[in-house]
Amino acid sequence: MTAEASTSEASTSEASTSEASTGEGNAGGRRTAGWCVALGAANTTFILVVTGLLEGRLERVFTGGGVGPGAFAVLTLLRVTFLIIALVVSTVVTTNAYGIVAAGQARLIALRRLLGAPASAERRRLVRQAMRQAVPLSLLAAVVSGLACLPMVNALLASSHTPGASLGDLAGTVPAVAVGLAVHLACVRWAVTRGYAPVLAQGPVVALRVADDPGHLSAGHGEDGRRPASRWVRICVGIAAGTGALALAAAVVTPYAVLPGLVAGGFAAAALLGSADRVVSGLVRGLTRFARAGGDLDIAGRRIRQNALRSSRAALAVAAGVCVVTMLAVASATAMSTADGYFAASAGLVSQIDGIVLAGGVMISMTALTSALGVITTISHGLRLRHREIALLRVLGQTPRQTRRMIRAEAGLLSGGAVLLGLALGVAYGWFGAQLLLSEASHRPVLVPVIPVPVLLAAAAAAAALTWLASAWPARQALRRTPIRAYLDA
Amino acid sequence: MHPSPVFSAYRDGAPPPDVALAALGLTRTFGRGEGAVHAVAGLDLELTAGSFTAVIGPSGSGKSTLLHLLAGLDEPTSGLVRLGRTELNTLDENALTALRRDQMGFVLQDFSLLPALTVAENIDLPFSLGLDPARRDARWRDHLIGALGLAGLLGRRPGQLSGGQQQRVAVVRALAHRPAVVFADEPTGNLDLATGRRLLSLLRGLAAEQRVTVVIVTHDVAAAALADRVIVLSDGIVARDIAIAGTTSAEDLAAIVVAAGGDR
Repeated sequence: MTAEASTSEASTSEASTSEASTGEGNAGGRRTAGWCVALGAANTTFILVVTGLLEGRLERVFTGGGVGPGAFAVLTLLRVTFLIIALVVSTVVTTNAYGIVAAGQARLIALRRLLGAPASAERRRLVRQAMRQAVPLSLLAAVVSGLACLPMVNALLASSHTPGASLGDLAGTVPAVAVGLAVHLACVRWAVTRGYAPVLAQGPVVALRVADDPGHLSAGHGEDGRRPASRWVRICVGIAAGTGALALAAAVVTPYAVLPGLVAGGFAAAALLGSADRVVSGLVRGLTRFARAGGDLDIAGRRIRQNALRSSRAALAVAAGVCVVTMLAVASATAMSTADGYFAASAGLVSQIDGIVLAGGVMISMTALTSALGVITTISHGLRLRHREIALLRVLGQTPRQTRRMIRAEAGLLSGGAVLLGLALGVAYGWFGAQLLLSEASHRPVLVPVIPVPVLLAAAAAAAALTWLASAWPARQALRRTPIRAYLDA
Repeated sequence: MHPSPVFSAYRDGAPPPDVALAALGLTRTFGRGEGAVHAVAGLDLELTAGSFTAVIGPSGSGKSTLLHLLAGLDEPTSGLVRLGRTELNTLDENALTALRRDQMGFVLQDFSLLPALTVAENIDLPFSLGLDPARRDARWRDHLIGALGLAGLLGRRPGQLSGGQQQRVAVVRALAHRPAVVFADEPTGNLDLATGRRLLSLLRGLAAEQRVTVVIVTHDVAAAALADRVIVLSDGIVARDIAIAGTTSAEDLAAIVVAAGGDR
């Protein structure tokens, strides 16, 4: 009896220890998710305030009146486009962050369900908990970001001898920002629900599994990514193809072709998001085969494919960052070459393109920052969830050198695949955008895409370096303790 | 503390050739100051090659910690562990890992399989981590797989197996490369009675016929009674060291363990 008592005492203390460690991991995960949410809100505000303040003023900068629908329309289109890109990137990154938080909480959630909490109630509780953090953070980030915009925009306007914006002008952007923030928070809510979905779908029996890899739970059911594309992915592809073709056809006569173009771009992005696990699995499989290496790369590739959903989100964050930079670079280079060749005399178009590129560059930098944060958090936190697995490999004879190599191989494969995906998408979107905006103005039915190789190489190198850095610190953390302590405490 | 005359005899020299594994003044303390817990508290032990030892004792007596220290998985706070003539604490992390991989096999307390790999791949994992391919012995591997009833399951993933099946996969993985020392933490914990007995007789056979040194940690006196030697741990030290005669029954052993304070 006494032995039993002491056994149960020991197991209780073990349980509370593991719960405490789970809680700790979650605190880190929630902090990360909080950063993603805040950065998303800051980015949304930034885009709306900058474009809001420039509205009306920029028309004076653009001297080329009579070109296309005018700077005002271009600015509005730009604003919507960048806002959509920013929201998509921040939603992807946030979904991922909450997916990781959820994976860390998987056993705890399963235990609550085992003890009688229904899945729907758990979902509501978790969403409420997340939103309690997200709403004040978003508001704070929006205020900081909005105030920071004013001097930035004034500096921009001063360089073109245009009168600056005042606090009153800033206040004028509040309604737009409020709508933007509401959309942002709706996206966050969706991201939270999506992030927790695989864990809530697992069922309470997970709590009884003594030693499952909690990270594995966030993988969903898409083992190896071999899953038929869902119907809505196919519908998205259909809509994207239809509206895309329509936009391309219309572009010859009007730059308003950008509108169906935006719809096409949005649906194409949605289709990609919906099938990201399959796309990334395929890319990684291809890269593994291409590299023809066994051992480390093979295990790394398997790990990525096994956790296709989580890995693909990390990859999407990288891909989104590379894509937006590439898109802007290709669009502006294509536009410039078009202008140089055919409108050497039209200073207006060149100036307009310059203005767009500048405004776009500023807005894209925030989005790139969001995706950079997404990469770092996803990779480092994902590795933290896998401490137990890494520790097990060490127990079974993996040397520290091999461990570091494995983690690097995994990060390398993932970022390699993502960079390729981002470059391809960026070139396609960039050309698409330039074609829609400038085809009519340049009287050319098809613009030849110009690919600024150095910019793209720099973007790819930055993404790869970021991925590398993101894996270095967790690798050190994973190797800090003896294998068995790392295994037992993971 | 139990100063060992055998140890003092070779403290500065080579151990007797038949000692496979030795611990000297082994201590592992968790935490500091008032709240410090001495899981293993200055323990001396030596295990001869080809012996089958069961470590038994109440929860919290330091059984698992001792096993981890003997296997070089954890660093002792003080004291040392010798595998043959090699002192584990003199090795750097890479060398220690290689030694563990080459000379030892482990069965951890829970289902320690990689979910991304199939059963066959999990079994061969030490080889993909750098174990000398010359150590592969297909016939021995197949024998183990057959003996533990895993023949039809090689293509499955751990998630598709029961707890007992996962446990047996871990056992095959620990034994497939014919290690010199095998450590198992509650190896029969998830197994039904018949499979548990089959596993124990397999380990016994390894010790007796192939001179593999086997150390298991268990709560099960009936399992411990099948060993050559039973170490009863209490508060991180050896409370009793029992050589099991062929006639020692589980009941006798239970009585000895209780008398030694092994049941509190």
